[in-house]
Amino acid sequence: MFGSSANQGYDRSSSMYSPEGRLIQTEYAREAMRRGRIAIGLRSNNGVVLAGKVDTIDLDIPNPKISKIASQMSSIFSGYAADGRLLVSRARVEAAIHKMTYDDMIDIKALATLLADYTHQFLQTGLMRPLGIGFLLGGIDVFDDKPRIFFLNPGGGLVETKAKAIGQGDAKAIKFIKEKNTETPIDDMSVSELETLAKDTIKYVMEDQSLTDDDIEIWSIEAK
Amino acid sequence: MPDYLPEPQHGTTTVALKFKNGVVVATDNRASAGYMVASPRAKKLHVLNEKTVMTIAGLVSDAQYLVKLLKAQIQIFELEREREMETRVVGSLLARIMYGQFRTGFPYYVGLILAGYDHKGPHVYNLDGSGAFGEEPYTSTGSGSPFAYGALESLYEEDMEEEQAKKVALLALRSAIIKDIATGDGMDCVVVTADGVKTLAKEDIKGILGNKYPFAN
Repeated sequence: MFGSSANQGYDRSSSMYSPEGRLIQTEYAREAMRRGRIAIGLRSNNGVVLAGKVDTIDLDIPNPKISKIASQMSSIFSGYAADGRLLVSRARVEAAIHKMTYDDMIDIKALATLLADYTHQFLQTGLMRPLGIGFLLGGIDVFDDKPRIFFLNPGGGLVETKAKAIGQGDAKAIKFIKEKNTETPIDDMSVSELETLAKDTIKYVMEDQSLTDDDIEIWSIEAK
Repeated sequence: MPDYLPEPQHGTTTVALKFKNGVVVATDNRASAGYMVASPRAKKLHVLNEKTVMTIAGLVSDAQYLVKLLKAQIQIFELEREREMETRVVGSLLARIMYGQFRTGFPYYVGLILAGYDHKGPHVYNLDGSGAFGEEPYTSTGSGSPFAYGALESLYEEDMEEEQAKKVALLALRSAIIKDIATGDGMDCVVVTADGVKTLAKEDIKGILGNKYPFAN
């Protein structure tokens, strides 16, 4: 019965490799991440911008796309909202514990690493599935006043980034941002330029120039 | 401290004070056990990282354990964050550890001074077995602290230069060495500035105190 499937049943557990060394459940989780509404993170030397497309279904009042984590830090994710909430609440608790223990804001990298470690546990435990989200954690570090964004993937991977797009149209968005980066380097952009770029990218990806500020949720922070 | 436990910080004098661009920390070298000198070369001044030092007083085993625990925590913090753990951050962690132990009913039987330098300047903190954590311009712990405070209260001034600050700290320690039976045998002294920790040699201390050096050699 498994032999007939292309993946020979190696996709039935997130804690089992295929003979080629792949974790196929993780690859499926990445697809779940790509199906979410687009989320964008941009970082220059002057600040950080997180932006996402708000999805309105019928007469529902849409959930916020961006979640604040601590005083100078926010997050945005794409994928399964419930999986995202799990990481958001974890991030808030870890940030609060760090503040209480050390009387000091947690470094963005340190928090991102904790969240990545947590995400990774889902791949090492039987009967679990990987989180179906891509997660961007961005803000200004208190210890050096520098803007930073980290991207977490469903496999527990972690990478620092200047610009990232996750969700529907991610490849198109990154191509658009890279083109803009050759015209004006993202590093040199002001926060308002980053905001404009984020909005333009979402409009471009959605192929809808009529999107208003109600359709795009945005969070930004400026370095001192 | 609960009533069923004796007053901590026996048999020691430690002094720390802030000056214009750093801190001076000084301790004696006597470990006492009642009327006996348990050791004349006890080390009560510990360098925790590049710009943070701590003095210990009280139960030696508790203090030594806390020094080791903090050094390990600092090592992990600094490897993970790729930056220095500032004195205030070390102190906050230490206060949490001490408070947690206090609430078990078996508190760490120590009096500690944490001193160092960070981007906001010099800091001197006082910690006790209850987990209290307070910043002071100058402070002293141990059985000889009333004598050291006597000297500090009249000699300490804000924004002193380094040379004067070293002299004030050592004179305060000298008072305790002369008047307190559980304090004596030698002096350790460090200065922490933006450049890091500088340990004073015995000859430096003799030079600063001149004829007020309390020992024969």
